[in-house]
Order: sequence, then structure tokens, then C-alpha cells
Amino acid sequence: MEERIIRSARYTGVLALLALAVWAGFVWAAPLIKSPPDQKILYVHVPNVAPAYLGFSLTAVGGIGFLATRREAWDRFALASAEVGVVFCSLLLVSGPIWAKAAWNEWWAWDLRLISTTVLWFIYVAYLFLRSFAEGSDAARTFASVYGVLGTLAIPFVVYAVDIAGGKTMHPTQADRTIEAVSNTLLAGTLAFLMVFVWLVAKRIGVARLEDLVAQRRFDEETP
Amino acid sequence: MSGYMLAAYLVVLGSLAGYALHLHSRRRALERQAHASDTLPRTEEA
Repeated sequence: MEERIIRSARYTGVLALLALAVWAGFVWAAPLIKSPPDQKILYVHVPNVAPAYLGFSLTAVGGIGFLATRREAWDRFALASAEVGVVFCSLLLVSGPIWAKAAWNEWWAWDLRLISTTVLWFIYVAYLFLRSFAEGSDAARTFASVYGVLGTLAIPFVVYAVDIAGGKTMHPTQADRTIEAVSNTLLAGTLAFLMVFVWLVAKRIGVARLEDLVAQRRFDEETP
Repeated sequence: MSGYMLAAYLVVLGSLAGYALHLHSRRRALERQAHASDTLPRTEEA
């Protein structure tokens, strides 16, 4: 009963944060910004960035933790962070073209930020495939940990892609974000999405723990 | 409200909800499996 109440409180908290972010975009910021309605797409596009980068960075933290201690808990943490990071990165790559089509009447452009984000997505989808094909063995965990650590090397390239492109990009630089209401709404959305990220990673770790438990019991039953 | 905006909100918020529900049902299924292996008698033939 107590656990059910705690679980319900978590669901309510996460939903309230998401509702607050949507409210900030539609009710609070809307009268302050003279812009077409499609501009609000940015409020569900930009907030995916921080959880995606955080997920991939935490994959490296989990990988280093596993390599240093050989504790499976670190490995589960790395796996959960990568999977949830891929979810947010996928949403980033799907919502971006919807915004591009609405704003510039084209789905895709060979923009450095877009290409580098897509490459980053492929790196971590490959990580998840690697994990699902080579399940369980210590060697596979070690390899995945090293791969997860090396994968983060791509993140700074994506972050600074706009600067590297030297202005030849569709994405804004820091100096372009001058409207305070837009910045505050994006910040509220980012905070809400980060909370959702933490919640999903915690849930995914719980699932990974149960997967290991069930696999261990199956192994015990089948081993003479 | 434009179709593009509606699509973006539905895709993003719907996918997050869908992924959370997937994790929830996967957890339930694994809990059932773990309980089943608790209650089933272990085979000793091997």
C-alpha cells in the first residue's frame, strides 16, 4: 500500500512537471512573444537535448564505474542511461524535422548539427544492439563499457557543431536566444524533461535488475 | 493550432508516455516470472 502511494506520487510529480512546461509555453509565454503557433514546437524539441547528452555522459560514468569495480550495478546504470538517452535523442531527431518543415518548408538539411546528432544517435543505437546481442557475459560488459566511454568523445563535437560550422547552419548560436520569455520557457521544459529522464532511468534500472534476477534463476535451474 | 505543432506534441509526449508504459508492463511481466520461479518446484533429475 505504502509503495503504491509512493509510486502514484512519482507519476503525479512527473505529470505535473510536464503540464507546467506545456502551460509555460501555451499560456504564460504565448502573449509575450509575437510568433506563429508553430514556434511552440521548439518547446518540445529543445528540451530533449539535455537529457540526451546527460544519458550518454552517464553511460560513460557507468562504464568507468564497472571497469573500476566490476560491480553489475554500474553496468545496469550505464545500460539504463544509454537506452533513455537514445529515447530522448530519437525525439530530438523526430521533432526537429517537424519544426523545420513548419518553419522552412523542408524536412531535412545537411546541417552539421543535424548530421553530428544523427551520428551520435547511431553510436548509441549500436551500443544497445551490442548489449542485446552479447547479453550477460563479462567480456561483453567490459567491451560495452569501453565503447560507452569512447562514445562520449562525439558529444563535444555535436555541442560545438554550430561554432565549427561558422554560422553556416540552421541552428541558433547562444547570442540569438535573446527573448527572455522563450529562454525561460525552454529552461522550464528542460527541467521537466530532466526530471522525466531521472524517473525513466530509475524505472529502467529496476527492470534491468529484474532481468538479471530472472536470468540468474533460469541459469540456476538449468545448471545441474 | 497547426497540424505540425499537434504532431510534434503528440509524438514527443506520446512517445515518453509509451516508453514509460512499456517499462511498467515489462517490470510487471518480470515480477510475475520471478514469483513463478519462486513457487515452482525445482527439478532434481539433472
